[in-house]
Amino acid sequence: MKILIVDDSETSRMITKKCLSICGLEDSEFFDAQDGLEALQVLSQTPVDLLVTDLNMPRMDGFTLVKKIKLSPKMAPPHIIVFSSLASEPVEAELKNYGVASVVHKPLTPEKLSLALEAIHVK
Amino acid sequence: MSSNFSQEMDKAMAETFGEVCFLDCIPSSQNLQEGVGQVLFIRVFEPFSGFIEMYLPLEIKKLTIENIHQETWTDILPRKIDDTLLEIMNILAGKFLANLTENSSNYRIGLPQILFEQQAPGVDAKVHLFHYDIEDHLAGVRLVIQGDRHARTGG
Repeated sequence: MKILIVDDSETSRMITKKCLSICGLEDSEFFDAQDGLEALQVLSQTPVDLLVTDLNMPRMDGFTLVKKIKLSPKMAPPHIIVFSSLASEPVEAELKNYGVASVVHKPLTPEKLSLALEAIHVK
Repeated sequence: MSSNFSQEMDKAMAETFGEVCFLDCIPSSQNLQEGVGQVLFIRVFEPFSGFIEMYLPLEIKKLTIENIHQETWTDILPRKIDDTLLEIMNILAGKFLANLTENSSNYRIGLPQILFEQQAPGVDAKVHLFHYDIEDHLAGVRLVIQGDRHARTGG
């Protein structure tokens, strides 16, 4: 499985990767990007099975990223999980309109991520 | 929206330090001394205009960073230390605003920054100071609500 983790924080990307590994995805091929622009570059070259992205990032935020992906179905991963400190209920509802399967509040934990992965049958 | 800034900040601090760094954080009656050194800063755009600053002494930074990275402080690159502290600030602000708005309305923040002095609150700002005991070390948070919008928040 190919997984793209998008967050401007290196620490957060590291924690996300650890959580995904604890959730049983340790054999996956991990890619990372620091913001939405970098993520689009990765996606244009490498189709991934799962995108895990933050919202609050410089240059291109997670909102813009999922909107752009929605407009380019060729690069759209089958599953998108958003993890953010900005995930209010209205934001969550809007993100789901753009194809986001699950929204998880930061800090990410294996328990929270496990529930999100179970919901999209990725485990 | 909750108007109990103290209660929501206490909860956000306990959750952030507990869940991210496995450290106990409880409100303290002691006041942090002046001359706080490095300041973790984040601007708030919604539901009010203002900012949050966090002051962490070196001992708390060390505990936090070592718990997250599972490495000794001296083996961790300064860039990684800063990145981790900024992420903690980001999580704290998100949790505080989610608590404040009961997660039912939008809140918007800037990107966290490390500053070397406190920011001026500005005219007509409402300033709230909170103090915490984290594993027997004192930390501080300053919430600044600027302009006339703070009236609507009950602050």
